[in-house]
Parts: sequence; C-alpha cells; structure tokens
Amino acid sequence: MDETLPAHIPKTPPAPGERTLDIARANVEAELERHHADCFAWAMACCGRDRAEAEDVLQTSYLKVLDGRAVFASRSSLKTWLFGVIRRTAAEHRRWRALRRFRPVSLADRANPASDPAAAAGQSESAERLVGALATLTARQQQLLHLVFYQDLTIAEAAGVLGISIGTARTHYERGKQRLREMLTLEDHR
Amino acid sequence: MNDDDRELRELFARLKGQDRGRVPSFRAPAAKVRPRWRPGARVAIAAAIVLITLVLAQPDRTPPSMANQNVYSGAATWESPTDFLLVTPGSELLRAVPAVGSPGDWTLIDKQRRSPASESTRSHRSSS
Repeated sequence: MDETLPAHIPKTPPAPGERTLDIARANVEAELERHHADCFAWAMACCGRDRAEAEDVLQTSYLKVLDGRAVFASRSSLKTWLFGVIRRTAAEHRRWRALRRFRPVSLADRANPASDPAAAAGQSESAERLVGALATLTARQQQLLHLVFYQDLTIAEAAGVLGISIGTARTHYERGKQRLREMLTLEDHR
Repeated sequence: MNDDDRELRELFARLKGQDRGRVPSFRAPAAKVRPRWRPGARVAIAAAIVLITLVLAQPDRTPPSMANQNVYSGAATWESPTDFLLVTPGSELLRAVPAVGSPGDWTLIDKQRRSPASESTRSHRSSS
C-alpha cells in the first residue's frame, strides 16, 4: 500500500504535538521577520555598529527564541522583549570576545568589520556626523537614545529593554541628549 | 517635543532610512532539535546519580588484615647502595645515649673519709 504513495508524502502522518510545534515555530518566525529590520538596527546599536558582530548576535538571539531558551512571558510587547533578548546576547558576545582576547589571534579574527570601507561609503554626511557624535557617548546613553529616537519607544519602554529604572533611564536620556547636541554643534563649527 | 529634539529625530530618521537599505535578509536559523525527555528517563538518571554517590561515599569495610597485605613495603626496606659510606669509626656513639649506670651500681660517698692529699695538707698546717 505504502509503495504506491509519491515520495514527497510522508508515510506516517505527523503526531499532533509535532504539528502544533511546527505551527508555533512558523508563527514565531513570521513575527521575527516582521521585526527583523528593527532588531538588526538595535543589534547594530548594541554592538557599536559592528555589522558582522550584529549579524552574529541577531542569529544567536533568533536561535534562543526559536529553540525556547528565551520565552516570551507577555509582560511587555514582543518587540521590547526581543530587544531585551538581543541586548543580553550582545553582552554575552562582548564578554566572550573579551575572553578570546587572551587567546592567540588568527588572521581572520584580526579583520575589523567596523572599518568596512563599503559600509562607510554608503553613509551620507549627516548620518556619519550622527554616528560619530553618538560614538562619544556612553554605551547606556547611546542605547537609550537609539531606542527613543530611532525605534520610537517611550522612555519607560526603553528602561524596560535595558533593565533599568525609569528614573535612571531619564537621567541617561537627558545627559545623552545634551552631550549629543554639544558634539553635533562642535562638528558644525569644524 | 522642542526644536532640538526635532533636529535629533530628523537625524535619526535619516540614519534609519539609510540603514533600511542595508538590512541583511531575514534568515531563520535552524533551531537545534532539543532532546525530548521521557518522564521515566529523568527519574532513572536521578536514581543512577544517587546510586553512584552512595557507592562512592560508602566507608572502606576491608578487614584490617587484608588491608595490611596490600601495603607495599618496598620503600620501607630499601637500602641505598652507598649506605656503607656513612658508617665511620665511633659513629655508634652518635646514635647511643651514654649510660651512667644503674642505681644498684652506685656507691655512697663517705664524707668522713679524707683523701690522702688533703690530710697531709692539714698536718702540715698544724705543725707550722
């Protein structure tokens, strides 16, 4: 009986549990794809605009979400939860990279993707100005301004992503904004 | 929102517009298939761990006589081939404690008895 079936049709139907898992995975993938551009921009912000590292961090974060190591508990929006996962993964990558510094370095490791000329050539002057000014801020200030101005989150949502109190977030936000303005004004005068 | 904020928002919006063109295509990573644990498997693993711990923590119940048989005495009986060089004349004095003698051999000193030398000295003084 089975021999008459075409090759692409499975001989045994999938178990009900497996089918549910497939549907759930498809849903999660669709959600990830919907937020992919924002997630990539956030990963770039968390990795100091290092594109290769941001891609690694994003893939690791997606893997965490898909294999159930990171579980969405509906305490915030899916987007802010995803941002939290990416932030923690980026921090893990940073720590891992710091450990690897004590290891003999191969030539492939020495390549610095941040100084990729193709990526730099694609940036307009204003974007380059902003990126340069942002680089002078602390990591926390950079991340906070990115979440508020780039991702259009509220300060409270940004605080949730960064795992800090709203008061602390507001302080970082104000100081970061002030410093960013100073740096942009300085750049204008040059 | 003040004018400064508006300016920052515009700058960020421009950066965002540029970044959109460089976003890598979405590629869902192949999730690792996590092993599905049967309910009995966890219990079996826990039982095995407990059993191994008990066996390892069990006190040594080997009888002392048997335990002594296993002691390797080679190191204790070994003698250096150059040991004879350490044997020097009179070296036994260094290893032995000199004995004064047993109390039975002791003799009382007679205080009244004078030595001949001291008596002659006294007689010599009296005569003078």
